[in-house]
Amino acid sequence: MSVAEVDPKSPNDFELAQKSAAGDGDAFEQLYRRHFRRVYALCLRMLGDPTLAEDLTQEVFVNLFNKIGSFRGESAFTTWLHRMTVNQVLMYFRKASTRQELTTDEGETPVQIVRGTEDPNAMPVVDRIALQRAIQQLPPGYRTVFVLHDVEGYDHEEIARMLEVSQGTSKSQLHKARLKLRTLLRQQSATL
Amino acid sequence: MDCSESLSLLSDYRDGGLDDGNRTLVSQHLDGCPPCKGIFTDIETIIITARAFTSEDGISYPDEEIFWQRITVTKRTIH
Repeated sequence: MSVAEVDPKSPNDFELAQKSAAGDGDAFEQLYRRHFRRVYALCLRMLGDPTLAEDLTQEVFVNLFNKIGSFRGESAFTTWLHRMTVNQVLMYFRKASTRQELTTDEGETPVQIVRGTEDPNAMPVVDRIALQRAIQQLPPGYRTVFVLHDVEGYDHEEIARMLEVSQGTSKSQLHKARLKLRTLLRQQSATL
Repeated sequence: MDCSESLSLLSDYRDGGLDDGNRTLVSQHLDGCPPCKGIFTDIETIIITARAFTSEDGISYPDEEIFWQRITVTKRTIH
């Protein structure tokens, strides 16, 4: 059953979390089946690599299993799990010593505008699959900030705190990510 | 304001992060510069598309059952 198809008669997430914490394996499995796709999608968008996303998704659910007793229902379970997933991915970045990539400019070539050469209609209508593909091609630092801000809705203050960078860095990375995505989408359309 | 300055401020302009003076300057530049206006429109399109993402979009998921077995095995290993 997908996230959107939870039976209203079935226990809610908080009830399942409480049962899981008390050792009910079936309750934990229900939580897994409700949230597996959401967690995997977030991992994949942040990491850009399906194998890594699988590994991190697995870590998230093992971590969830170990910490489920600390969920008090003060926020929505989805919010709590979302934050746990983001933290797990960020921890991966730090452990892999890739944090440097979160704060550097990646050596991107700036966009040059020459009057008369930019066709405002050149970027095709963006479908979500094309954008997903382009996001996966972003450098890790750009991708993390773009996913957190433009997909997941975190503000720069939260992102700066999570990534341990300045808000200015977060804004700069986001801007570069958007411009890079635009370039990637135009390249995609040119090869079709 | 020239194209380079305008380009560097487009995201802040889109996200409401500019002071009144710079917001006016960027707005005036975009009104008179179709290439920069085109870039701004593209950025808006990307943001709107990103905000409309759902978990299902463009993602090939691993098999839910097999993945559950992986997690179960890992849990048993830990505990």
